[in-house]
Amino acid sequence: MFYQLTYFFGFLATVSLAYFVYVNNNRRETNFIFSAFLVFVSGWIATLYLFYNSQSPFWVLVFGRFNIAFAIPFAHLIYYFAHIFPTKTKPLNHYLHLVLITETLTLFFLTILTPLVDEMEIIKGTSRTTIYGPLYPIFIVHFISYILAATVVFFKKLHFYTGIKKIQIQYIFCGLTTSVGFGITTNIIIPLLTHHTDIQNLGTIAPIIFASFASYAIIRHRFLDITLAIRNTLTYLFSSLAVSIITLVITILSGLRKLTSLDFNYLTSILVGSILVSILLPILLKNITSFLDRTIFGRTLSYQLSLKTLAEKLPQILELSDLVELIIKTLINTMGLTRAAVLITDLDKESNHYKITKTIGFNETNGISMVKDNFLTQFLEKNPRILVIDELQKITEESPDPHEQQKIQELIDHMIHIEAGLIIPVVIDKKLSSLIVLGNKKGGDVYTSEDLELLEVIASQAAVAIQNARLYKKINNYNQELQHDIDQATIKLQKQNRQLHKANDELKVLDKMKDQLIAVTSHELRTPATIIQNYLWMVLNQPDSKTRLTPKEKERIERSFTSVQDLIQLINETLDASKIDGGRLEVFLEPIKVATVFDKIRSTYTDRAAEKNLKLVMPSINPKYFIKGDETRLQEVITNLIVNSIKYTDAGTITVKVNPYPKNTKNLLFSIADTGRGIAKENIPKLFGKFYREDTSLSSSTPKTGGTGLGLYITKNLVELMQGKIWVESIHGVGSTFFFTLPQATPSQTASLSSRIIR
Amino acid sequence: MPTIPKAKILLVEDNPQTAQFYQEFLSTKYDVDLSPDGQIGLETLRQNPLKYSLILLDIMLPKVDGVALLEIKQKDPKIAAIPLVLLTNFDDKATIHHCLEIGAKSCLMKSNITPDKILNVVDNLIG
Repeated sequence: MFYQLTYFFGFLATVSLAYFVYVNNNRRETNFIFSAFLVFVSGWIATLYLFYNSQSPFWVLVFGRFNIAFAIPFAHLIYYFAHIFPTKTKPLNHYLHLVLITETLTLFFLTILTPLVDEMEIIKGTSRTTIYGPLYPIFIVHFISYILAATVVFFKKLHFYTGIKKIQIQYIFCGLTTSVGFGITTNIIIPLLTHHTDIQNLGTIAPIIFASFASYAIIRHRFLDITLAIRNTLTYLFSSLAVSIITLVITILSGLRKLTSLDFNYLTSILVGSILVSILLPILLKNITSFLDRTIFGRTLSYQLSLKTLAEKLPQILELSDLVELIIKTLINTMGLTRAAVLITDLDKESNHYKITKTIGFNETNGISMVKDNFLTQFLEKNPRILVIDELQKITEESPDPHEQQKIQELIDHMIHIEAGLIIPVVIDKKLSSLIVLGNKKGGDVYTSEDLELLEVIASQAAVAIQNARLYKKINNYNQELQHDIDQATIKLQKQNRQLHKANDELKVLDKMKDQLIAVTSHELRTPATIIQNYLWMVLNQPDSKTRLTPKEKERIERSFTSVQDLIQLINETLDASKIDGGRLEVFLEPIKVATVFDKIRSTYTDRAAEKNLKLVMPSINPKYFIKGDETRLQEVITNLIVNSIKYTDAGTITVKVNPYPKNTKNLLFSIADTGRGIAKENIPKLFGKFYREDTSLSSSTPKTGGTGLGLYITKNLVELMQGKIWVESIHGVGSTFFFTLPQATPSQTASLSSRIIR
Repeated sequence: MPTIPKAKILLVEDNPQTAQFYQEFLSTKYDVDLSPDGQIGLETLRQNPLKYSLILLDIMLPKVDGVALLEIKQKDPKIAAIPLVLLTNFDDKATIHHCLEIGAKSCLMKSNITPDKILNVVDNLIG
């Protein structure tokens, strides 16, 4: 009995393994070859069992020969498998391959058909004695050679591979050696030692050990999960047992067989039959169903496939319209529907107002829009479950309230009117968010429980997807609003900008008017002031003025003359400052002989300095020094600085020098140094600003230090207009030196144009 | 001793006070005729093309302004040779530059300078 079980389980294991490995990936050579190997092993086990359990001499001989014969290809296949697992290494020589196959096939058929290997079997009860033919040693050599060759190939590969493949080889190598060892022990060592051949029956376990290890190695690192394989095995085992028990019970109860007459062979045949039924039936059913689906309903997608497609696609779709379209189309195609529609509550409204998002087949005019906001939606909000028209009928019948009955009846009529067969509520956060309205099936079929289950799943998936799509839409809307706001703000800014531009233009006009006003006024002021100045000058300079004017009168007229000169200076400076501000002050740029300018200044300002007992030192200038500039303006710059120095120096010297600028000899460096009171460090940055005055205290604002405070501002701008730089170095109480640079020019013989302007 | 006739100057100036001053100031050495606007100035010159040794010309003038007068004068061969000095307060770089280039001898900024400087220039040109 124990041996019988080993046969049974050995057979079961090899057949199921063959199936799993083949199904796992039937396009891979490895799986195919290994499955073939397992088929031969199972055949070997089966024939061995039949060999021991048959009594007829003919059948014993047949099974004995087949038993030996099956071992021939199986050994060959192990060897071949060793070559192609886990990846095909160097291909076997084509001719050698053919020779080997021919040898195996020849030996296989010789064994079955001739007595050359297995001559005859002598039957004595349960024991069998085989008389071997002359080719038996060749079979032994064949078998051992292939197994050994396979072992050698695997052993070599063990060193060749790394990582997962090495682990796979390790499994197989381990299985192979274990089973070989086991086989040698049971079939050779124990019988030799104990003279007990019964134990050879256990030899069936040897290939199973190898098969198990190898199958695990093959499957483990392919996609099939081994736990799934185990689960499936157990499923088939239990279902087989269940079928067997049911069959047994039926046979006994129906009186076909009596409990006492149940022999081993009968039980075994029932078990094998059950196994076949449990394995083959689901496959058969599946194929028949899909065949019928295709032929009768014209469906292109199976339920499972459509569900899988939806499940895969739904989370990827963010556009609500695409999402709804996919749901509708999948449902129509899968179930063979006449029409379908999706209604979704308005995104932003709190009210439960539904919007038709997509319809296929429904006609807007037949009243689908009436579903949007009526008793039906209210009903579904309270009872969020799939609503089939037949069920509504049931609700009307059960409802005790005649008013509600009437209402539901209206609803049913309405659903019939629009030809809606089924409504699926889509619930998000316990709130009804969408409705999927389906028509009827094309063939006029009713919705089955399978349909409803599928629709439940789709509804829950759709809920998540719709939620995502809505959030996406919300974000999109928000983005658009933001963009809109930005655009609005931009337009507003542009408008403001234009206004500012306009205002600026107006201001420019006003500024120009101001400048013109200043220009005109100063011109008009200047004319009378000049006349006064000129007459006063005339009085002071007429030949007989000394005799005609008393000293007192002369002093008064002189004061008037100075004041009117100051007034004219003020007007001129104001005018210049106004031109600077408006960017309209212009200078001539032409070669100027610096010596000429110095000569013009020297005598006048030596006298002016002398009036304050100051010494003006202006050494004669290298006649080769030319600058590029405006002669009258250069004169103005130098005299402004000299006047400034005179103003703030009480005793000592004012020295004016010109030298090439050491830092950039293309420029000349002018310096006006005094021994005056100097400038406080903090005041230096303000010095060249508009209206700056060193001394702002009232006590010091005597006529002598008077002025507009525009002098240095104009000076700085004139220097810069002539492409120069101006700065000051000063030590408070010691003196100040003003420096300015101007670009040198190539000497010119002709007198400059600006020298002809006399200011 | 026969008196040497004074050289004649034509002063074109619209402001009577200013004109009066220069007339008076220069009268010690020169004979100054006055034209109150550019048109009269031009007519005076054309009628007496050989009379004047110098023209003192303001720029901002009624009817024909100084620049136009100068341009016309320079194109008129009969009077083109008469030396001309601008006596003005019109401080515009481009205008003055233009005038000096087409033939004005000098440009005197009348408010900035004392009368003796004007006399210097006039003496130099007539002398």
